[in-house]
Amino acid sequence: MTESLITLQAVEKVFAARDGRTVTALDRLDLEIGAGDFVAIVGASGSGKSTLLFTIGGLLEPSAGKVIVAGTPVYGLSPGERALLRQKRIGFMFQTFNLLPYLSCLENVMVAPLLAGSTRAEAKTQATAILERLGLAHRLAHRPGELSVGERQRVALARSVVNKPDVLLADEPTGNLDPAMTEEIVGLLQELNMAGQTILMVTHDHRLAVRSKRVITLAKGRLA
Amino acid sequence: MSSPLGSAFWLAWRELTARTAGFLTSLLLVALAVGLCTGNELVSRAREVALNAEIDRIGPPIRIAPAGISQTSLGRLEFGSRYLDPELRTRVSRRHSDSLRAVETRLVLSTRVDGHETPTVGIENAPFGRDEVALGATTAERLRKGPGDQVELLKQRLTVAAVIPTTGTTEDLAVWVAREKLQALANLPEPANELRLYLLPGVDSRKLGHLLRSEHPDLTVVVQDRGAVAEEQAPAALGKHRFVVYVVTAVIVALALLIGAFLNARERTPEVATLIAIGATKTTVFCVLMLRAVVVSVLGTITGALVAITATLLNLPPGTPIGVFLADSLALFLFALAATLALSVVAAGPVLVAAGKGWNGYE
Repeated sequence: MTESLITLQAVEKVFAARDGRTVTALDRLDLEIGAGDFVAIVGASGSGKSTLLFTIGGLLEPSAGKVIVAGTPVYGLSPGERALLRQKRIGFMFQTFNLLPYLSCLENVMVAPLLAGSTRAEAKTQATAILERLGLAHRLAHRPGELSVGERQRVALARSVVNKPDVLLADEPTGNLDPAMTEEIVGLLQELNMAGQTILMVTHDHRLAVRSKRVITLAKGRLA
Repeated sequence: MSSPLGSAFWLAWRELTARTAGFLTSLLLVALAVGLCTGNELVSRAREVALNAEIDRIGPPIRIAPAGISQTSLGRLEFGSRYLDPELRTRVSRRHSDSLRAVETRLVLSTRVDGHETPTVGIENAPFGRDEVALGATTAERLRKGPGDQVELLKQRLTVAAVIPTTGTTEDLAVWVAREKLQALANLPEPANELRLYLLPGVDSRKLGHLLRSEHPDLTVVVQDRGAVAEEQAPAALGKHRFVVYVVTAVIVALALLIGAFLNARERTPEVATLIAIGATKTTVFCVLMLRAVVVSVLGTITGALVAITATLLNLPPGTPIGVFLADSLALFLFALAATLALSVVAAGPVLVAAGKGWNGYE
C-alpha cells in the first residue's frame, strides 16, 4: 500500500428530503486512497458515488466524520481555505464538462491557473502546454460549442489537471461519450495516472471501471 | 501573480465581449437613460444660465408692496387687502428718475375665474381690450379655454384674447386684465398694490433698495437680486419635468440592468458551481458577478453622457458660458455615474440569487 493521500473516517452525509424524511447518502464510510492510485467508484444510482466525490473535494460538508486530503482535514478549513485547496491540490472533471461557453478552449483551461494566482502569461503557457499534450493544439481559439463532445471532455480534463493537482476527481467523465471517445478519455486518464496522477473516478460503467487499478463499489452509502 | 479581482475582471470582460447582444442591449438602454437624464438636465441648466444672463442684462426689478406683505410673489392671497398710495408712483419716479428705466403699477387680486380661485393681475397698457383677458398657460389648460373663449371674472364675461406661452413661473397660473378694468370690476378705490421699478443698467439694486426702505419705512421693499429672481423663476421653470424624467430614467436603468441580470441568471447557476469546483473563492465569484453590472453601468453612463453633452453643446443658447456648462456637465456625469452604479448593485440581486443556487448546488 502506497502512502495515503485521501482518508475518510466514519464519514456520514445525511440529506433532508422535502417531505421531511432524511436520506443517508454516505453511511459511516471509511476509505483510504494512496498517492498514485487510480480508483473507480461504481454503484447504482443513488448509492452515494457523487456525494462521496464532492465530499472529498471540499464541496459538500459531511454530517459526521473526517475527510483528510494530503494530510489536511478538509472540513477543518474555512470555505476560503477549502477554495485554495481545490485550486492547488484537487482537480474536478464533470460528466457534462461544465466548460464556460463564452470562453475559448485555451481560456477555459487558463481559468484554473488564473484562479490559483498565476499571471495571464503563465496561465496561457500552462494551458497551451496541456492542451497540446491532449491533442488540442489546433482548437485553442475555439469555443466549446464549436467542439465535438470528445474534444470538450478533453478540454475539461486539461482544465482539471493544468494546476498539477494531487488528486483528480472525475464524476462520470465518459457518461456522455460514445465508445470511441470513452476509450480515448480512459486512455488519457491512464496515461496521466502512469505519470503519477492520483485519480478517483465515479462511473456506472463496469467495463470502464476495470481499466482502473482499484474498484470500489458503493451501495446505500457503504462499501459493498 | 494575478489577484482575485484581476481574474474576476478578466472573466467578466470576456463574458461581456463574448455575449455581445445582451451586453450591447443593456449598454444602449443605460446610455439612453443616462443620455435622456443628462441631456434634460443640461438643457435645463443652459436655460437657467441664459435666464440669469437675461436678468443681468435687463437688471432685476425692485418691488414695492403695502406694509406687512413679506414677499411680492404673484398669487399670494394677502394681495387685495392692502393698497398703495396712488401718488407713490409719481413720487418714486421723480425722486429716482436717474436710476429708473421704467415704473409699472400692478393690481394683484385673488379672484374667482370660472369658479376657480385665480391670481388676477391688472396691468398698465395692456396689449388687449378692456373686455378681454389673457390667460397664463397653466390657467388656460386648467380652464380648458383658448383665444375667443369666454371666462367669467367677478361676474362679468370677458373674452380670452390670448394664452401667454409658458414662462415656467408662477405667472403661468395668472389671469391678466387691464388694470383699470380690474379696478372697476372689483370696485376698488385704489388702483394698485404693487409697484415695480425697473432699473437702468449699472444701478446697484441693493443700494437703491436700502434707500427706498429708508424713505418708505411703512412699505415693503423687496430687492430682487439676480439670485433671488433666478431662485424664484428658474427652479419653477426647470423643476417641472425633472422629477418625471428622473423617475423614468431610474426605471429604465434598473430595467436594463435587471433584464440583463435575469437573462443570465439561469446560465449563472452552473457557471458559479463550476467556478467554485475549480477553486474560485466567494470573493472572486462575487466580483465576477458584480463587475458585469458595473462595466455596463460605467460604459453606458459614459456613452449616454457624452452623446447628451455633445448634443447640448451644439445647441447651447447664445451667451452661455462654456466653462459653467462644462463644469455642470462634469458634475452631472459624476452624479449619473454614482446613480447608475448604485442601481447596478441593486440590479445584481437576481444574479447573486442565482449564484447562491450555484454555490449551494452540491447540497
